[in-house]
Amino acid sequence: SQKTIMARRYDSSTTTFSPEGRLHQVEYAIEAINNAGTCVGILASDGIVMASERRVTSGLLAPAKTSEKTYKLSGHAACNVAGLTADANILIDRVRLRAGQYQYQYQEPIPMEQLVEYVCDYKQYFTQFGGLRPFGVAFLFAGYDEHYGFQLYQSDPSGNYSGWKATVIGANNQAGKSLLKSEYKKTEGTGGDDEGKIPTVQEALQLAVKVLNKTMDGTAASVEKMELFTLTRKDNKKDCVHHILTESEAQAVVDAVAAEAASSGDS
Amino acid sequence: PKPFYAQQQDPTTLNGGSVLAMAGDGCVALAVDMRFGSGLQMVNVMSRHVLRPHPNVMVAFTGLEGDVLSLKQALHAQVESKIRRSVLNSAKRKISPRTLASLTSHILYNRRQSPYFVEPLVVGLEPEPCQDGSLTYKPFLCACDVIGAQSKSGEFVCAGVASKSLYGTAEAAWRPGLKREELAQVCGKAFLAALERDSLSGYGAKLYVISSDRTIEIDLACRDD
Repeated sequence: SQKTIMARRYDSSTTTFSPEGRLHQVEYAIEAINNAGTCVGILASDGIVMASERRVTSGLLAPAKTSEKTYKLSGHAACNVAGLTADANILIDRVRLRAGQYQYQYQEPIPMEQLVEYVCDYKQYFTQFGGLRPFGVAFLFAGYDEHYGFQLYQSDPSGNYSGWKATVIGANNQAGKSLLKSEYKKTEGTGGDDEGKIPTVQEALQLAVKVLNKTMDGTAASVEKMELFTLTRKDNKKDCVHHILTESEAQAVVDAVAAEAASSGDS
Repeated sequence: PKPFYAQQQDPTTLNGGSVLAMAGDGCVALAVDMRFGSGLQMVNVMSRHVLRPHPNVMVAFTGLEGDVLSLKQALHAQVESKIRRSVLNSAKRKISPRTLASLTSHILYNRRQSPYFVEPLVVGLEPEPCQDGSLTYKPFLCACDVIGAQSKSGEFVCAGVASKSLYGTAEAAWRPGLKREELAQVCGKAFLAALERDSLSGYGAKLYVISSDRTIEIDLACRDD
């Protein structure tokens, strides 16, 4: 009655706080993403790995010419999308333009944090002005710049962003994150070195597949249902190498993970 | 004593420089000179700026060096935004020479009221599908004036301070059906012949010969004055 009507009034306007101090529309947008295909991002010692779940909704769909998960933003940056693809396209167009403008103006690639902050500032605008809904998209940004090397960032509809060593967004991200917590940095036996060993790109690929295995409803993740992407550098060139693994390359990673699971058994 | 007033120098000839491009049988040659000067004073020996989005197409610039840099950077930014989008085809998408020529012309005309003092040359191999489905490459040559008017030719194009001489030497030297090595000889000789008689161009030349399978770069020596 009275209480439910009051709750709805605060829900509908994105720009109004609820009595508990929450922005409900933003929270609902974040909920929408928790139903989207999972994306895993892992920072490796020599690059970044982003793996995502490919959701094939119908066998009648034409074969994809482009990815619906992984997008190249500039020579040194790429992103993975979880959420409403149409919303994501708008933001990706803006950030591609911004990266190009920065490069043109300063004759150097845009630093990663500035790129991420630009997208996030735009997303935040829709949580504070105008009666428009927020973007229902979460991103994983992967990139390289000469200031901080390889970096991985996550952003959500609120316009908040943070840097990560490894993270998961989309469906079952909590399960994925807990697996990463235990597996990302494995200490190599001896007591003194608390840091542990950051995985290489090859190791990170296998870890990403393990995470996808866990998040994809328990069914064994097969190569058609996942997309594995790596961002690496070659010969200190200005542009990074953006590579989506071919079917055979991805199969090799999946096989390696299966072999390791079979030999070690359940721990 | 009468005061000495410095005169405004012609921006199109202040820095010097010339370029020549010729078409052969399934190949193109582009020759650029190396002189960067300030009027009659030589400042530096460096190759004329050449933009190369991918091996099959090149844009050579000649004119006022500041505007050359501006136009090159603006063109580069536009080309990058259009061809470097896809991750799936990591072998980048290609831009064809005639598209690049149209883009260059567009950017130049945008500045109709206060032009870039640059005369770019767009050269490359235009892919053309054959009846049997394979691809042949036809030479593409285009010269633009400072406000973007395109002059296309199947024989040769030239620009820069020595262009009047280059029209003469190229016309005399060019013949149809030149193969790669012959084309390099003919283009190089025609270019150097005009350069040697021009005070604002010279100090060597760089010759690029583009064919469908590879590009050769040749350094040519001439009178260093």
